[in-house]
Amino acid sequence: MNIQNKLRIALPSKGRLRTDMESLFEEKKIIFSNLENDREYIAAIEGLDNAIVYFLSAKEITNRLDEGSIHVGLTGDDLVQEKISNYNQKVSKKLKLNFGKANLVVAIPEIWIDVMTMADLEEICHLHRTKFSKRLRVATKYKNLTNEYFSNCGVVDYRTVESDGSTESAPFNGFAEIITDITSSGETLRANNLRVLDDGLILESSANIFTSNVAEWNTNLENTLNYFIDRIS
Amino acid sequence: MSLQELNINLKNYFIKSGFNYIELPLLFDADIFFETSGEEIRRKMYSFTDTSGKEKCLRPDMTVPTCQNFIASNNKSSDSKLCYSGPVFRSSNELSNNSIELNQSGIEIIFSEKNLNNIHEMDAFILKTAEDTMCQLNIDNYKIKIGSIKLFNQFINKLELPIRWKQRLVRHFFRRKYFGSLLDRLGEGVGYDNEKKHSMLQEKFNIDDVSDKGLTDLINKQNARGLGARTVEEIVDRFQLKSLNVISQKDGKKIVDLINNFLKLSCNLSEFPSLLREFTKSNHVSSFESEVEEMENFVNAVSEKSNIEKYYFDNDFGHTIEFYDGMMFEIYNPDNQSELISGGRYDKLLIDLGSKSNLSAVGFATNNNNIIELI
Repeated sequence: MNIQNKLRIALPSKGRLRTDMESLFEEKKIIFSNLENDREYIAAIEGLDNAIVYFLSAKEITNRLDEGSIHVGLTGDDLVQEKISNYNQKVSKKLKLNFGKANLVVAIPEIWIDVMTMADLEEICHLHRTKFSKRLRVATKYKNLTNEYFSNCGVVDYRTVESDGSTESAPFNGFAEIITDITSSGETLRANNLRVLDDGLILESSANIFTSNVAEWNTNLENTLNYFIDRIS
Repeated sequence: MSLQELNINLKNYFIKSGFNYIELPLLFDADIFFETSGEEIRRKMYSFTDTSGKEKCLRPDMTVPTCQNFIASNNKSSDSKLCYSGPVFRSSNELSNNSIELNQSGIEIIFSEKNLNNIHEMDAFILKTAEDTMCQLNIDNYKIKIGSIKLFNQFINKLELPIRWKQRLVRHFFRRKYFGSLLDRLGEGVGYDNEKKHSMLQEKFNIDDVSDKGLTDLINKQNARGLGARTVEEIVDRFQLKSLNVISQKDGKKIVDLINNFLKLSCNLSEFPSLLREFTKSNHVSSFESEVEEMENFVNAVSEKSNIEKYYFDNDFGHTIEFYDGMMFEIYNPDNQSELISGGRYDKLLIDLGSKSNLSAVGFATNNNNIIELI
């Protein structure tokens, strides 16, 4: 098998994205061949001889799109916009999918009854800095998106703290004062006594099929891509 | 002359003029720049994570590390005249020609005796030193633009505005885009009245009692999980304050017009105090005379040391350095507007960096990348 001339497609290897992707493919009658168990990392698609499928984590898919070592990848807007600088130039969104929906939001301790908007938060950050001579800390997995949004809202007296899991607990164990995080229903936030600001929506994200503009393309590959997109649309 | 030679020449000139040279490292913990300049500086600087997981950066400026150095050395006399010289590093979209190195030579004067007289004296001295530096470089085609964030602060303080709005406008003076959107908001009228306050509390927290006690009880009930570094009193006070700060659309618009007209004031420095007096009188800005006199004293201090005709005052001084908190200036080439020297007063920065005493600090840095084009 000469993989040089094949359309390289990366699909999620685990989690909710994987099961949602599998249901979609089942519905569209797309069948993986030579896939004996779900721990395989390479497969082919029946009737799509020109393509090879890799199963990777969504983060990995995003990185590979960025460097152009895959042509097509299924991943979320959140990861693409956070991890790929100049993502508009490097990747194209081919198809928005009806799953993987999540919002990146700004959440504060629920009981800050005087804080409803980013403008309030801006003032709170300033008061915090005046009081402690330190900047208010924002725990997040999405440093870049957070910085861009805060800066557009005039919020500057803060700093981000990298968080890799259970970000929602940071305000109550003293690692940070507020957070930005991905939420789908808001339940986890509410359970942790956090509240989303009225204008605290940073990004509405969903799963998408992206293509890499950095990868090498030819007419054959483009035809295969179009056929693949047609089948899952 | 090469950039390196220019760096060395200016360094030697400053040393000869009585400044102590400080050798600063190129690499710093990124923290110190985030603490003093905020996350905004991230876009301008080169940072990376080292093998121990610490975020490091190439120095994006030299004023912050110079002040840090001053505080760490715990100088007993507290009066220091310091200088530095060399490259700072900025991301390539900040500088022209895709360069990442901006070469600067600068001085900082930090002293402990702080009163109005010696502040003017020091401001005038730093301007004179900047002019002498131009002279040393044989550059005589330049103009000097002066601005003052302090004057803007004093003016805003006289307006019929809630204190929160005053602070907000001063805080964002340097961020012109956001400052503009603040004025737009103010022009529409701001604040919420009692009715809105009730309905909001009812909707979000399901309570009716909006007295201090009612709110305190509400917060205490949920306090078990912490308040994110705030106290119950702070939250209640700020909540009550917000609903007192209502500005109608009509009043908001009047104030916005006044601010915009104030920012348009610009003329030769020698004429600026009378322009300021006239403007504040005709717009009924109450008791602004002592501020006008302060400006007069500054102008006198400058004219004693320098040829005042080269100076003009621009109230809408569009500087982008956040830590200035008093007089600001820029020396530029009038042919192409390129910056040759920029500087100003930054007393508050030292406190931000952990200094206990109330020090006075003023300084400038040359832009050697632009200067080398002229010599």
